[in-house]
Amino acid sequence: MKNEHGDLREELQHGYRFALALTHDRARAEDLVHEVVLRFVRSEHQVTRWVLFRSIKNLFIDELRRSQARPELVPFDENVACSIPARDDAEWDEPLHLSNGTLTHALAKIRPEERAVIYLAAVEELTAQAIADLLEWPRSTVLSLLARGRVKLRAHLEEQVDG
Amino acid sequence: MKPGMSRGLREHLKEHYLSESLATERLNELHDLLRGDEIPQRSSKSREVRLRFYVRVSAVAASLALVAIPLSYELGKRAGMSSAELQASGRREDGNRVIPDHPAVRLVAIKMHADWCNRCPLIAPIFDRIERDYGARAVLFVTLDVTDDVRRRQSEQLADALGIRWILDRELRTGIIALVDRAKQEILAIASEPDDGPLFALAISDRLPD
Repeated sequence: MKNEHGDLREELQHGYRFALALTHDRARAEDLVHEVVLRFVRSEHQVTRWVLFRSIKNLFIDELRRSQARPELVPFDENVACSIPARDDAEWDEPLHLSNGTLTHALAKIRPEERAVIYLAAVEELTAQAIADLLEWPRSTVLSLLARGRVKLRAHLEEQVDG
Repeated sequence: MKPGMSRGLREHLKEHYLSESLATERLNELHDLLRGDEIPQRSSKSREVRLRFYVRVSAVAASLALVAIPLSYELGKRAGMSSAELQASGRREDGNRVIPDHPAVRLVAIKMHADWCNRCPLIAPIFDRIERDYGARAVLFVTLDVTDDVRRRQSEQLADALGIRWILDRELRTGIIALVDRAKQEILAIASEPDDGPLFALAISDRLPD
């Protein structure tokens, strides 16, 4: 039973942040977490951070498909992974001068799936394989999204700094 | 984000996301729900206790003041029906019963529906059976369809007209039937399992005048 799992507040906060990475909208992120929690209320599933993340991702994709406002979340075009050279991990730590709100605006300009893998890599510090396992996407797709997301994010950040 | 900080992208992202949190009250509410602290479990408590729980929760949920809206003509206007159509049809195109507004019509049985909801077909027979039994006895039976944005907007209009918009704001899940007192804006009972029908019927009959 879920009562045996102790305090899950920290996991919920992480779930909310992951939902925020997907939606880039606080209210929608909270709604996603709420809906996922409701789905677990009568379930016997053990609730962990990763189970929450996967459920949030699945629900987010379901909602996108229902609204038909966007095409398939992940194109599963594995060839894309070869078109962008893999960046060195050192790029994450390359000094970057940012002002208030710059990152928020730049994150708004990249795709939800790119934000999601960037969040999982940078904040949750998961490897590409772990992200692939968690999101049930091919590893090459994760690598591609991560590379493209980082390139686009940096470009948008530099654009704002230059502007 | 602190301006002027020269760090790597990873550190900026961490700070950005870790500064975001659910409000404590909201977090505790979700946490209690997730742990099942507040909802009696099917395996250990009777369904009657569960029903009582929902009645208890409803007292907390009711927070808005009643705005009485004359139902029949208001609903007709919002639904694009003439008053003659409204009086004659008794039932809207979406299947909802249209009955004249009256102070006695306080009870509304609301089916939360979506085409994509797996549980909805399981719960629908309860709704149909109870509507057959109680539909003529001052209970309004309404389906709020949230399948997509268009149907959700229609449901919002209908809910507005009935003075039960607050139920949509509660963001109840689909695949349930809620019995609400629209005067008090309270949820009186919720049927969420196929065999909740008898208790739900009891919750209605207890509140009907003899």
